[in-house]
Amino acid sequence: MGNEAASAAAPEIIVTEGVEKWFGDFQALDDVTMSVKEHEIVVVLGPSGSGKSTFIRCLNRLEEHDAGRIVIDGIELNDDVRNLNAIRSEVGMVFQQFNLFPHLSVLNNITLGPRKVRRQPKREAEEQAMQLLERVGIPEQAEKFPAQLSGGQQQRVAIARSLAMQPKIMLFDEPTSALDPEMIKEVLDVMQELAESGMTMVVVTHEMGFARGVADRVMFFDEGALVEQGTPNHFFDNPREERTKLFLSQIL
Amino acid sequence: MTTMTGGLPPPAPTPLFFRRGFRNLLAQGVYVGVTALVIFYVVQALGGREYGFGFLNQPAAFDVGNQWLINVDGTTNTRFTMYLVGIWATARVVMVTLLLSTVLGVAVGVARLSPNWLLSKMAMLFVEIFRNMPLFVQIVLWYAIVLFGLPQIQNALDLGDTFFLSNRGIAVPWPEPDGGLYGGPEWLTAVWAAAVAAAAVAAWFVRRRRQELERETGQPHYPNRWGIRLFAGGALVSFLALGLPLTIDVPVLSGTDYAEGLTLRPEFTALTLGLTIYTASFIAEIVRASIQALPKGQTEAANAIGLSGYQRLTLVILPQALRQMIPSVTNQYLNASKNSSLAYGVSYADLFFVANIIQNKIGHAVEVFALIIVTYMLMSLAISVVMNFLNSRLTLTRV
Amino acid sequence: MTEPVAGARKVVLPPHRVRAQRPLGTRAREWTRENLFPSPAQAVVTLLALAFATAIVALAVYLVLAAEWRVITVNRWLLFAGGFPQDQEWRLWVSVALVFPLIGAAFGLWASLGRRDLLFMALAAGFLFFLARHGDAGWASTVWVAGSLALFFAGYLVCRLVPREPGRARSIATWTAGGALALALPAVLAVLMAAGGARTNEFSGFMMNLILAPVGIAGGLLLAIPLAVGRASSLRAVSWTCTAYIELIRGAPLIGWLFVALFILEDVIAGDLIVRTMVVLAVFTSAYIAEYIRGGLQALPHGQTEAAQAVGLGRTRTLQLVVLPQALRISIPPIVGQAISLWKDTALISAILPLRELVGNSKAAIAQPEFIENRIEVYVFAAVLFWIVAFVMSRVSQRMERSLGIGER
Repeated sequence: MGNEAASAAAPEIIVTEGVEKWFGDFQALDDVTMSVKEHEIVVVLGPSGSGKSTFIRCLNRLEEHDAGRIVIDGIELNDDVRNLNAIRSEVGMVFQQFNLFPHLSVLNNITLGPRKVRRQPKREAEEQAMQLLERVGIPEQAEKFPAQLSGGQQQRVAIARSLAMQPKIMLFDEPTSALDPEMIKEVLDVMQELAESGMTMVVVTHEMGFARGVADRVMFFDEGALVEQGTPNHFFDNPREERTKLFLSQIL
Repeated sequence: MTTMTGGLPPPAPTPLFFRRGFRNLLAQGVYVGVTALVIFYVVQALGGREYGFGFLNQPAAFDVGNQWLINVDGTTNTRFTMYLVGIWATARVVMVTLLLSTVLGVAVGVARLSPNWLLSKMAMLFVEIFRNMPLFVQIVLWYAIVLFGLPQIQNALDLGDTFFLSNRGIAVPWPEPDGGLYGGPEWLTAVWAAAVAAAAVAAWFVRRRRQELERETGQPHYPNRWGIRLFAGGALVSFLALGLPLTIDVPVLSGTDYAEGLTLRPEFTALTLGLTIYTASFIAEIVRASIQALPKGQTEAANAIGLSGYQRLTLVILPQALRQMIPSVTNQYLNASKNSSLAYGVSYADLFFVANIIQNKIGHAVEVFALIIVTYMLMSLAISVVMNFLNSRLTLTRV
Repeated sequence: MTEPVAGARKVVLPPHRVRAQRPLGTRAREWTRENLFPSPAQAVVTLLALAFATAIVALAVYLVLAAEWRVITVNRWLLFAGGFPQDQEWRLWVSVALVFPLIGAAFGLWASLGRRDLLFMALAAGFLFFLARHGDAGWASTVWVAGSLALFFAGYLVCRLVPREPGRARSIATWTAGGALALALPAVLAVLMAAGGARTNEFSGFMMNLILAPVGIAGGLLLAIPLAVGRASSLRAVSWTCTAYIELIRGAPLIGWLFVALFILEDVIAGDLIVRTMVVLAVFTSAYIAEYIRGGLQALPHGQTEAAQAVGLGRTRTLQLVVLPQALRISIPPIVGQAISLWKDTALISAILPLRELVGNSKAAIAQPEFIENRIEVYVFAAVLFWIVAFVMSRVSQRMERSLGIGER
């Protein structure tokens, strides 16, 4: 599924090596080494507290890793302020709680980044924003404020807001966990369309249907470690590790 | 696993200038530099003065009225002693104000929520009138009313020969140390005070012991009831045994002033009245808001188990609202303690007034202000400590 | 309770309509029973309260009637702007004419004039005409007041035409009105002082309160924003110094800081006493407002900062575009509270400083041998003036809270 091109010799766009993260005495990430190829769709699974969210938050440096290396599209994530600015416009992120800016209209939420960071002219930014709203299916909500939208609509606006920065990579941190069941599909549809368009995506989610149907690869985290990874078919039907089997037996 | 180096080339070293830690250090360095320059400028601008706290140890050469319990003569005592007299004056006003404004504020706040329309509207009027009027004007106004609204001392309002009102102040009965029935020495009063203190300590221990017993056995041991009984009994028995070593002094008029009893001078009265009413109007709003913030179910549950209106208020509503309101009330206490400096407007010799006299006589404004601000900060600290202790006790025991 | 009144047709009505249908007497009796005499205990409370209220009202009426209000009518101009140069009086009225249409516009844009507002405006107009007809004033002052009132309604009516729904027209109107309101204070100061106008040491009376409080609030707000951000900063040197500043300022009462303005600041800040007083008021207010804004900053969910960073905004931009607008909105009610507090605090300026605001000029009024007996009248008048402004501010704040509560959050 996903992008057949990705399985070929596409360049690796995310590489991590021995990443560790500590919160005080608690080790949240333990020696995570992985890579993601361009146009690849990776779904990250794991029980709560397994470090999967911490991991993708490290990928755009919302959390700083304590050891190991993370290289995104050739940019090293370290204390270099130039790299930090560069990475933020390469990597888009969608949050569980949407985190739209409540004091700005939908349109201004989307144009804020392009106008203030990329210095796009207002008109141009707004045209692009309308196209993105069209793409996520809610162009008619442009003038409204986030509080006037449903959860699903808010999350779609959040996706459009991230896309407005024209990122090479999109990170999704449990994008459907805060949604009412009837709204989950509208968000997943947008994500699927995005995947088909060739975006590189790392998705933390509990939606097994999405993982099976859209992902090129599934990664399983437990207790801060990357326990197992493989194609969806391999992962769901023939898991190798005991911990993976236990997890699958609990959720399926 | 950590040694596996996939295909990553070694990272390029970051030049120092682009490291975030260095940037932060740089920003702080610039900030500290600018701040230091400003401070240097101020210090340098104030450098032309003579400094030193020696002036505090010289004779004061001024007198202040409104003393109570202690009588300090300004001609023989040092300026610092007079400043301490000012602190004592402030402390009196603040203590009385905090006590009275809490009582009045809670009463008005509860009345505001009364189902009785008239009572509730009156409480609202009280709050709206006194909260939106400058405290300073209120104090000055009360002072004018006491000085010019009340009769002169010769025609003092006489309430049953025990209370007197005139523009020399309000005279009330007050207990005085006394040798008691058997004509003993005056220090018998001190002995009795010691006995009361001992009873209090004993009561506290008994209460604790009974609380422990209650926790261990699960049987009721009435710690509060026995504590109060022991304390009250001890105080009463020792009072009788020592032959009633206190008398109540009833004020009498003597010429152009009161004799005996306790006289609340116009300055003290106006200041305390103004502060109390003003602070109470804020406390009332806090009380109202915290009661209204309680879930409705609490009142309904209290009704369901058949509590009367008064029981509902004292057993269910107020204890819970108390925890909500302590931080805001603490804030009001801090405000009130600082607002006591408005004593200046009625020439009540509080710490600020005395400090100002000292400054007028000898200068040294910087040192005098340092003294003032340190004193107020210590007072705020004391109030905060007490209130935090209260807060922690409340949140501990009533979750 | 809800049994139908005899003769009424049997139509099912909502309970309040049923109640409204019955004769006024019945309703009044019922209301009285429910709200005043629901139980014997409550009846006692009501009677006691009634006795108390009657006594207070009787006393107040007696005092008002017994008082000699001539001290106010004679001294009205002294109380309002005593030391202001007489030939420059027009500048005061121009200021009024400048501010009134803005207030009207604000009403038109964000509220509407209710019956109470109109009543209040009528009272304010009456007071202004009363002022304008003071001892040696010509008719010009009266014309100015009338013109100001006309401008108030003009501003209101024009702004009523702006649609309430968000859109281009509304955003232009709100930005224009907001900008004009922000510029009103410097404009008024310019009108009063520019080109041969009054000098700062000629400000006095109620007018001084009306100028000092806004200066203190505006200055305090401007200082408070960097202070609050600094206190919440992760840079230790910054947060420590900001904390120290805030705690130091809050450590002493305002009267103590006025003492500083009088005896210490003269070596540090050039400018006359009133300028130093403005600085002290702004600095004093900033410490309190900074704490409220910090509360607003802490109340913001952390996700807002993260989302802003994730779309590539840097630290400063995040603060300016995402965090501060929201934090400021949350802290509007306590900031208005602080503004009211400062307004009331301007009453103690004359206590220690040789400046004469309303209370100071009240003392001057009483110092005249003729009025030496009328001390209480003058202070009551001053208290009422302060009260009215503070009360209006608190009402505006309540309205703002209500209108901010809907929609946009």
